[in-house]
Amino acid sequence: MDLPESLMVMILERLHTRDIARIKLVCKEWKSLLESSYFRDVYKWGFTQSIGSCVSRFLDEVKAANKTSQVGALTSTDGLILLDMSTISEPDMYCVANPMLRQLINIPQPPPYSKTFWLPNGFQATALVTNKKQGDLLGYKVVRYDLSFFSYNLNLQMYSSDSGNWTCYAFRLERLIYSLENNPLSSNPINLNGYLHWLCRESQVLVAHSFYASTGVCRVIDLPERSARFFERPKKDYGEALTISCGALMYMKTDSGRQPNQQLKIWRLKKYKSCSLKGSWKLLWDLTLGLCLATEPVAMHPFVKEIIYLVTRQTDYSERHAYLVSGNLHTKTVQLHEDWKQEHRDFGDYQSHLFNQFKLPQRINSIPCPSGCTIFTLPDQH
Amino acid sequence: MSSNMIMLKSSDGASFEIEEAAARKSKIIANMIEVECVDEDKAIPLQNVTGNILALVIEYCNKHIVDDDDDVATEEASEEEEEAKKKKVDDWEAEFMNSMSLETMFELLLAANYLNIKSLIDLVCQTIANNIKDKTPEEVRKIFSIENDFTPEEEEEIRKENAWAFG
Repeated sequence: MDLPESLMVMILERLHTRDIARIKLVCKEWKSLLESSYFRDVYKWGFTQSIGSCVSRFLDEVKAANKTSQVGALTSTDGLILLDMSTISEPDMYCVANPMLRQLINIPQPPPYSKTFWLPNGFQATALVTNKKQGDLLGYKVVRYDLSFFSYNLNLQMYSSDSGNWTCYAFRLERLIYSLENNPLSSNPINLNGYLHWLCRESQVLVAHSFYASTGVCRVIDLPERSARFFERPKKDYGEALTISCGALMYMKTDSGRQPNQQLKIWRLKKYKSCSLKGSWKLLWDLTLGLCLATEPVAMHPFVKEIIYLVTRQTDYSERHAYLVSGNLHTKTVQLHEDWKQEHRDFGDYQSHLFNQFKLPQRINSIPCPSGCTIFTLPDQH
Repeated sequence: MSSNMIMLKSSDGASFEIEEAAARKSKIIANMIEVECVDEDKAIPLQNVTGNILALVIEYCNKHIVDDDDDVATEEASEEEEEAKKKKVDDWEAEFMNSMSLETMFELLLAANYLNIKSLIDLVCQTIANNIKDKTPEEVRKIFSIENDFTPEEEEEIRKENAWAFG
């Protein structure tokens, strides 16, 4: 017995990404349905609204519950968001939340640290890294780090859900970054496989560190097409982004070619191998976009490897706003989404929280709760 | 609470008597009642629903209308009581779905969709989705009696592309 497509979609949209990717193998009909744009549009993870709006509504509720207006989402990954709950009297307060299960855990306040000559500015940035096994969330770490890293070491303070404690670390960089930029780690790091990955745009390297392997070394991997001349400052006329697709870290790059000849290249990180360029990246796509608008890459679809997302660059057409463009690399079709727009000034660097809708968890797990912490659950609104 | 009774007639000619309040679970029937196109002595013909499936739909509606009544009666119910009640409904729903073949679930889903009963659509969809969750493609094919129409080469290709989901 066959169900109409609309009902089949109502069933399949309740599954997690891993299940979806796996059951493409059932038959041709299922595969084409699961890869259709119709299914992608409907697939909202059991929400009635998209993830993005769900998160912002959740934030409003957290603000209301805490009677404060000062709750900021610092980052989101694997279905968790890291919230900044700091106030003037209580600085450095963090909270890990799962908006889908409406759960919150207040992280204990980090111990004070003294500013030293190797840490002149303190920790200015925060990230969240997760430990997962076959899609299940086992733990997470809240990482506060120094943006500038003045020396060979990456100095950080980190809270582990396994131990329930804050500890200070200095991770040695594998090699010095020949950087002219002041804050090489200013991009939002990408969390994957227990690693945080920073895209250092000016020095054209990827800094990667595993927070769940027993190594004190921070990988420094040359980006593909990095100039061999270390001190040559690259011209900032291309767009680039790190993203996750099909469980792998991807590096996307568009050149400055005149429309419609703008080139897009996408590499997959093969190995955490430094120095030798050949071993670390695999070129997956190299194509002409054929768009009449200049664009910058933003993200790839989490489980459909051909789907990419770009935003328009500042031009006459999109003078004030950047618009979202989605594209299919296989059929070479692109679509401009005029209903999605952001003011240009809002993103010098594309903040990951703007793209929540493209970064979805494989499974919805309860937040691992360290001893001494309590999970709060916000009451249902309906 | 009105206890008006309504007659429903399945595609294979079986008639069922159901309380109006229960029948209103179906948006379609509720609409019919609103616009007064329900004749008191005449059964509503449901051309797309067979008798055995309609019996299931009515069982579901009756169960849920009773629960709604309970809610009104014990407005002051404590949190624990609420929770216990919710658990009772969940248990009933699990039992209700448990005894059903996949074929019957499909027919029930089509009927719930036709009659527009949102909560029943959700229940059946979620139950079927749970049947697919964490299963291998082979197991899903078996459950749904689907023939594998990929060549071994195509299958290998898809497996490779989605290797991250098979681990």
